[in-house]
Amino acid sequence: MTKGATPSAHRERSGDFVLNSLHFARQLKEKGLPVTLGRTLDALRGLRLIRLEDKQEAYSLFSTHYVSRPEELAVFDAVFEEFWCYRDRPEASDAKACVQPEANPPLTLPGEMEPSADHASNERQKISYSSRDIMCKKDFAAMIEGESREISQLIMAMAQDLGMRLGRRWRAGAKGKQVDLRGSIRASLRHGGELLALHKKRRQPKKTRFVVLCDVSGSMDSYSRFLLQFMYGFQRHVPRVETFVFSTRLTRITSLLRMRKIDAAYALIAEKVSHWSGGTRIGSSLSEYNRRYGRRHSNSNTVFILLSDGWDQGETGLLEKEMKELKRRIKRLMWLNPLLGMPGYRPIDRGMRTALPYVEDFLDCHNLDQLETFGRELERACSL
Amino acid sequence: MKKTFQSIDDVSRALKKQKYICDRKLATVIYLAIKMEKPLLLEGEAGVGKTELAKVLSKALDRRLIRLQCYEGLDTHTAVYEWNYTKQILRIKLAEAHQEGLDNLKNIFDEAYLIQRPLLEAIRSEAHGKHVSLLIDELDRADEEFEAFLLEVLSEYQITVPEIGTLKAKTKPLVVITSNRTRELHDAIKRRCLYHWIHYPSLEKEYEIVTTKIPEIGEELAFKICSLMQQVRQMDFYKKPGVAETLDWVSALLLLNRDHLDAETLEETMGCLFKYQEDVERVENENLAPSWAEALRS
Repeated sequence: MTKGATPSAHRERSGDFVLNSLHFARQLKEKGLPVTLGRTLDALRGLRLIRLEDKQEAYSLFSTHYVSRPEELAVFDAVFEEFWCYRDRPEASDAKACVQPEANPPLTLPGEMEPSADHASNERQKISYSSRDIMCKKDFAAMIEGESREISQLIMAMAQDLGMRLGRRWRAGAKGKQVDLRGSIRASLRHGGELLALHKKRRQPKKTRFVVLCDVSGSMDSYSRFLLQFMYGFQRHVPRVETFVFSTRLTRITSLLRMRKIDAAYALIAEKVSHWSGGTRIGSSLSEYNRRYGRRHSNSNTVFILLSDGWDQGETGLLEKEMKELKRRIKRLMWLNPLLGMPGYRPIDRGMRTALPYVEDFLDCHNLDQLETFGRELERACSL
Repeated sequence: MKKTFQSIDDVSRALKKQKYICDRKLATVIYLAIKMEKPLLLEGEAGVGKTELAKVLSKALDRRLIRLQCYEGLDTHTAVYEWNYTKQILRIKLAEAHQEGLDNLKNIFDEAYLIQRPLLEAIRSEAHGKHVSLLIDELDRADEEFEAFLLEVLSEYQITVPEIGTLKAKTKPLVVITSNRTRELHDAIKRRCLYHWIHYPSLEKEYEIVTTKIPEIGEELAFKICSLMQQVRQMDFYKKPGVAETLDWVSALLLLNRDHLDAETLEETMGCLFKYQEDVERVENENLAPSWAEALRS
C-alpha cells in the first residue's frame, strides 16, 4: 500500500496513472524498446508498491521492467522525462502525464537515401521466387529504392538461416579420448557395480567466435548499407559475434546492433559513428583493434571477417605490421570485397596487395548470391 | 519468520548498516524484486558491486547465501545435482556381502544418494522452510544451453530429477543474477527478471562508500581520491577502474602510511587501479601521474 493515501483516493489516482502508464508503454514501444504485454502487466502490478509521486521510484519501476540493456537507457530516459511531469518538490505533485504530439522523424544513416525497411518475417513470403532469383544476382550498388526493401528482407532471412546452420550441434565423434567416470560407473550399476567397460567422452570443441570489421568509408557507400543490414542480422542470429565499423577510425558497434528494431540500431549508429563516409586507413584501424580489443576478442577460435574494398590511403608498412599481428592471434581471416564482382577487377592496388598474403579466404560480396557463398565458406571454416 | 523489507527506505537503511551504499533507484528495484518475488538481474562494468550486493542482501535479510559461479561448459551435473555413485556401489557391495534380499536393499536412487549442487540446494532449502538467497554469478560466462535450462528453474522454482520426481520450492528464494555483459543474455531470461544497470558511482556516492567502508582514510584524502577516480573514468582506458579498485587503492595508501597524493605515491600505487599493461604504459608514457598530482594540489 502506498503510504499516506486513503484507499479511495489512492484508487482514484492510480486509475489515472494506469491509463497514462499504458500510453507511456506505447511510446516506449514506438521508440524500439522491448515492451510486451507481460512486462506492462508486471509494471502495473508494481504500481501499488511504490509512491507514485516520487520520481525516482517511478523511474525505477518502469525502467526495471522496460529496459534490458544499457543502450536502451538513453532512449528510456528521454521518453520518461518527456512523458511524465514531475515537479522538483516530490511531495507536492501528483505525477501527470504530459501528452506529446507524435514526433517520429525518419531515421537515416549518412551516406544513404532512405530509411531501411522493417523485416517482418511474414512479409518474406510475398517475394516471388522469380523476383528472388533476379534479386540475388543484382549488384547492391545498382539497387533502386523499391528494391532495397525487398533485399533487406532477403538479407535478414539469409542471416537467420546461416545462424541456424552455425548453431547446430556438433556431431558426436566416433571415439572419445577421455574416460567418462560418471558414465562408466552409471553403466556398471547395471551389472552390480562391476566395471565391465569404460565409457569414453569427447571434450566439446571450443566454440567459434566471430569478429566482423566493416569498411564504411566513402568508397564503400553504395555497399555499406546492405552490409550493415547483413551484420545486424548476423549478430542477431549467430552467437558470439563482435562487430566494428571503420574508415579513418574504428568504432565498436556490437552493443548498438543489439537494439530490437533495426531502425533504432541505425539511429544509434548514425549518432555514434562520426567518421561515416570518410577516407580509409585500414592499417591504423586494425592497429586500434589490435591494441584495444585484440586481447579480449581475438583468440585461436576467432574467425575474423573483414569487409572492405581495400582502397587504403594509409601507410603500407603499418598495414603489413598490423595484419601480421592480427594473423598471429586468430584462427582464420576472411576478406570480403564487393569489387571482386566487377568484371576485370584485380586486387593490385597497394592496400589489397599488402594484405592478401595474410588472407585465407578472399571472397566477393557484391550481391546476395555471393553473400550466400560466403555463408557456406564460413560454415566450412568453423568446422575446420 | 521470513525477514523482509518494510519500505524502500528500509532497504537503503538495512544495506547501509551492512556498509553498502545504494542510491534510491537501486533500492526501489530491490524492494520491487523482493515484493514481486522476481529474480534481480544486475549488469554493469566489473567492480561496481554487483556480487557484493547479493552478499549484503542475504546478510541483511538473514538468509543463507548459495552461490553458483558460472563458467564456460558449466553443466547440470555441477549446477543442479549428481548421484553419489561411490555410495551407491558400496551399498550394492554391502548387500552382496550380507546376501541381503531385494527387500532389504532400499532404492539406491532416493534422496539419500543425491549430491546437491547449488540450484537443487536452493530449491530444497525453500521446500523445507529455510529461506535462502541464490546468487548466480556471471551468467554471461555460461553457455546458452545452460541459460535455457535455467528458465525452468526461474519460472517454476522446481527441478525434475527423473529417478525421484519433481522437487518444488514452497516459497521462492531471493535470486540475484549478475552479468558482465561479455555476451547478451537471452530475452527469455531478461523477461523473467527485474533489470538494473549499475553505473559507476557519482562523486558523492563514491565518497560515501569510501568513508563508510574505510573511515580511517580521513575525509580530505577520501575526497581527493574520489575526485581523481571520477577524472580517470572520463578517460579512455582499456579497463576503467571500478569501486573495487578505489577501495583497494585506499587500503594500499593506508598500509603505506601515505597521507597525501604526490606524483611519486601515484606512480607507486598505480597497480591498484590499472590491471592491463596497455593502461599502465599509457599512464607512464603520457606522464599522467604528475599532472594528476598537480591537479589535486590546487
